[in-house]
Amino acid sequence: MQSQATVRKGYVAGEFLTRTWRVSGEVEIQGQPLLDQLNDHLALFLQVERMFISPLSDPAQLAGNYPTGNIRKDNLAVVALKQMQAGLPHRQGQYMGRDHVDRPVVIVVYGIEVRGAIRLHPSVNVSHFVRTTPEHFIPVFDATATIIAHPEIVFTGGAILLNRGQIEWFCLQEE
Amino acid sequence: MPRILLVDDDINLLQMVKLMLERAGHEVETSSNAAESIEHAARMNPDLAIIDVMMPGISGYDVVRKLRADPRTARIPIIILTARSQPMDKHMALDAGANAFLSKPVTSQELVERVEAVLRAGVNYRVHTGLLTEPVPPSGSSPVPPSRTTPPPGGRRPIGADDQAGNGPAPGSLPVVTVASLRGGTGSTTVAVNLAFLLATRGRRVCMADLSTTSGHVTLHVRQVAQHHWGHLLPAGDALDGDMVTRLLVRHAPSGIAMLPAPLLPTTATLSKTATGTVLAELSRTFNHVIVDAPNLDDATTTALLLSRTVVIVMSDDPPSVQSTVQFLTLLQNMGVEAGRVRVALNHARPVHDIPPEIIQKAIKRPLSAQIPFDANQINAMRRGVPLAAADPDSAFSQAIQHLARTMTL
Repeated sequence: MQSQATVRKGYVAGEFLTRTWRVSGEVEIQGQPLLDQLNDHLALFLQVERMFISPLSDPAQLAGNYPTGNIRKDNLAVVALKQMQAGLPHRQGQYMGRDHVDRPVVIVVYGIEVRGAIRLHPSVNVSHFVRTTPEHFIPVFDATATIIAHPEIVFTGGAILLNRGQIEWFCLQEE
Repeated sequence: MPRILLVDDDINLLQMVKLMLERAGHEVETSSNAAESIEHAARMNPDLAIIDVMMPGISGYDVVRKLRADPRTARIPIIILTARSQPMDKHMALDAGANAFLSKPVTSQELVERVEAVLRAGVNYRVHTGLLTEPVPPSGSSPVPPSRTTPPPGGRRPIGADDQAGNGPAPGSLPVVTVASLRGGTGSTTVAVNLAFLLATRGRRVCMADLSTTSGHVTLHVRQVAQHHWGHLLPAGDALDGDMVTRLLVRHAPSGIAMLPAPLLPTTATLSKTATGTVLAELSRTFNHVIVDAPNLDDATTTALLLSRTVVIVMSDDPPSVQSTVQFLTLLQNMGVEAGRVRVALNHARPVHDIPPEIIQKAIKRPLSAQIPFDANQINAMRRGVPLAAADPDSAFSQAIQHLARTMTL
């Protein structure tokens, strides 16, 4: 197998977007994948290491950096991850399987338009799933997140985890 | 032996990247302190610097700016390597004066390829994904003057570098394969889709552009539903930019192939020559290969044929198809498409031929590049949305596609 230069072993790097900030950082995933940590109802905050902060209006400008920090999960809009695998929960079967199909969606969450695919078994009604799943965060694969107030600012990711609690509206793109 | 300076505050990553580069025969020095790295670079005078963005105290962008501002270090080619991998980060890095941008995680092959391309191209060139090279524009903050007259010593030719009119890419200059047929039903879309999947399974970044005006079928082959298509570019006329093209791309998740679909409803409108040139040049910047499905002949497809590095004509063994192919080859010759860029593939080849391949080769006055056998599983592959090149790479069909790919200049 070809070697890779990546973030630290046991960590995943992500872009954590709130209404006003872009936080780039790494989350330890030794015990739990990131999606499971986000969906852990017992923890209000997520600990992030090697935090680098930028204002969302100028997301390439580094405004500050901290060795560790905490983000309040319910104030997150989306988390963009480079690789799809990094956005899967421990029980991957819900979102991965040989019969699963991609269902293109548009979801607006906290002023951010997310376009991508929700991957589910064909028997699952996607709208019903988004409305009723008990999970706080759901993954949208091969997705782009566009800041509606600044459409030139676009984040892409193999997976974008979005906060259901902040959804403004969503719709399926299928005909 | 090229000497490289690596700057990153993450010691483990520093060691990992150092090892990768030393294995490729480079001499590497490291610096884990961004502020000190500027003096280190001045002292060492490396052939290349690789710099992380996210470092405490001073960012990688600031390090690049300081290196560019110092006459002792202004001519060091620089690669930015960062976990911040969004498009705006790449723009920021290039604006700061970097010559290339790599996002983590990066494989050793990717890293070494890019390092060697930047070393070959030098400080006056930017090296993008797919090793496409372009001169540093004058608007960049880099003090290094761009030179459009000097060809890059390595990497690929800059897009548009040889364009006499100065307003589009030169003929045959783009990493585009146009798969075409003047006769319907020969399976040109099937060949195009399978070719794209074959290249994608080799880890290449592939985009498919379906230039059909009669309800394209590329997305049908992969069971993809597309709301966006090139028809959305028509209102903009010739005034297209990269973002407009990129926003229309549909990503096929399992293969990673990006697609620019055709309008679902047949249309008489088509992209202009200028717009097609812009679209293909833009896709060529982002992807290693662009596969164009061109089942009709109009301004858009003729432009694609002219700009493509390789043209594949798909034919079958019936008399009308042979006649169309002969006429198509004459047309390409009249258009100025060199014979060396053209391949002819006989599709649906059966044990008993309507016209034997030897006769076909005499009629078209050239050898067949591939004989692709009929495969009954093709229809099932389409139903499943997984082309045979990916679903059954050992089948005779897939082997023939692989053979065709080997004959091409990609």
